[in-house]
Amino acid sequence: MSHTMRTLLGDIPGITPSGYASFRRCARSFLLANLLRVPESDGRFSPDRGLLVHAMLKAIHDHGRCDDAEHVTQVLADHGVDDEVTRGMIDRHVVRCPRAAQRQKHEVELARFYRQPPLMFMAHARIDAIWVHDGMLDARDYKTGARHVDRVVDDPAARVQAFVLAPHLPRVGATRLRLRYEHLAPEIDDDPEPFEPDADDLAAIADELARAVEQLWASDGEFPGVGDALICGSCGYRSICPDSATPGEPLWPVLMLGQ
Amino acid sequence: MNDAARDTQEDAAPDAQEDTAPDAQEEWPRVTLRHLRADETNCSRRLAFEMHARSDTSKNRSARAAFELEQRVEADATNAHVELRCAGPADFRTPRELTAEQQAAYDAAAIGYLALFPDAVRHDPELEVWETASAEHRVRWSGRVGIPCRDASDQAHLRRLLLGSRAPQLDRAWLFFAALRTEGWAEEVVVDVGSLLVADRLDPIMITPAVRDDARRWSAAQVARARDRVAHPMPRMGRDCLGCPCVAGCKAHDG
Repeated sequence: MSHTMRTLLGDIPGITPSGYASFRRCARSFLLANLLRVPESDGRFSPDRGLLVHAMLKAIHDHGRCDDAEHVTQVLADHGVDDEVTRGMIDRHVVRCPRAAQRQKHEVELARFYRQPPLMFMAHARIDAIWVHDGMLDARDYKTGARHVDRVVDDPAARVQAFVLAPHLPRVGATRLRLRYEHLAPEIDDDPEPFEPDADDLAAIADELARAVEQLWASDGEFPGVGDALICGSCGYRSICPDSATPGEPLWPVLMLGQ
Repeated sequence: MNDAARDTQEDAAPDAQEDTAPDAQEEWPRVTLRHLRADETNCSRRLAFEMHARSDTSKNRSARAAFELEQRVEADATNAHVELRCAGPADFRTPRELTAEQQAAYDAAAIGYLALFPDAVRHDPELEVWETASAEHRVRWSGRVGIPCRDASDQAHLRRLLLGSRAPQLDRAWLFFAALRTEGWAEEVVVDVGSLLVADRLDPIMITPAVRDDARRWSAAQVARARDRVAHPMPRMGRDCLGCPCVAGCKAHDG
């Protein structure tokens, strides 16, 4: 492989919630998706529904209240998406929404620069919604797919979110942080247990991320695949990864031309 | 642009003729398509740095491997047309130095190129520079816009190769940027956009003088907005922090 670690990571490696989760799940998948941006060879799912629901929740809260049925109907109609599935997901959010919050914002972009020379990295996260109430910064991650964890703390992605959110507590007048996953798909009964990290938890997360970046630099370009059928089976590179436990034929449409 | 910024710029502007000389052009800001797309959600400190940084300015280097596959496919497609001819399978040799997965994607993209672009063309290196100076805006349009080539009748073409998993769509900002970059190269340019892995290609789009007029109007507004923002650059924390070339000294990360 021709890559040097510097061409792969740049001077300051970036860490995102999904990238870090991918790294923890399978280093090979992280290399392909996040560092080399190889187009996926195997379709997984379309993100369109999730993006749509996220956009509708933002529009609903930007211009009114989610428990105002008339307003919700109007927003959905304005966007031409007043279908039963979307409406059902909005309804599931309404019962979880902390409407009494002093402030709220959707789709918040945050970054945090970790600088302990020679180790540096830039963590970035896009938070679906932030509510400030009762001295708490209540961050929400809307989920429209399957549930993968019983506790939010167990998701590496959540730990990156906590890392970038933590420095903002004083600025918004909060003393506590809570991360909650809102599962909006009707087939998911309960949300995972929210994560409310204390100072020790946050220090441990910073150490964990720093160790991961050290591990990246030390990898010398070797990113072995996990080779686990359960993980590989839903991987977007399962057919072309040399370490795949579920190899097959790539699904790029162009390969159908000769058949 | 605010009044103070406009005053500063006009004060600094020497004689117009002198200002358009090649040496002076090197001092003009570099404006990429990303800069033209930038809005208030982007960081104006980074924007200012990128537009005005000289090539010898110290900066944080970003990761480049992410562009490797795309650049390799485009480079080999370009080399396939050093003379007027169709590309063939022999023009795309699997790059063994890349990962197995990149090789698989490369091979699939090569099939896509041969299927979507069967016509004979000749690469035209005249546009094979990274920048086009715009005396109108006193900026340098910077960045590649595809493979510049000419067909048997000397008609100019621009081939844009996409490696995504979706069908190609017309990107208006990109088309306008291509119109600006190709000004002076050819009056009319046929733009061919193909999504190689999806094996789908848009109907050809023509860059005409009328399209260039629209592009000039659009870019004038975008450049004015960019200049206004970089006159008083303010760091903005967010997605621009990833790969930022000027993290050092940024007040957004003082804490």
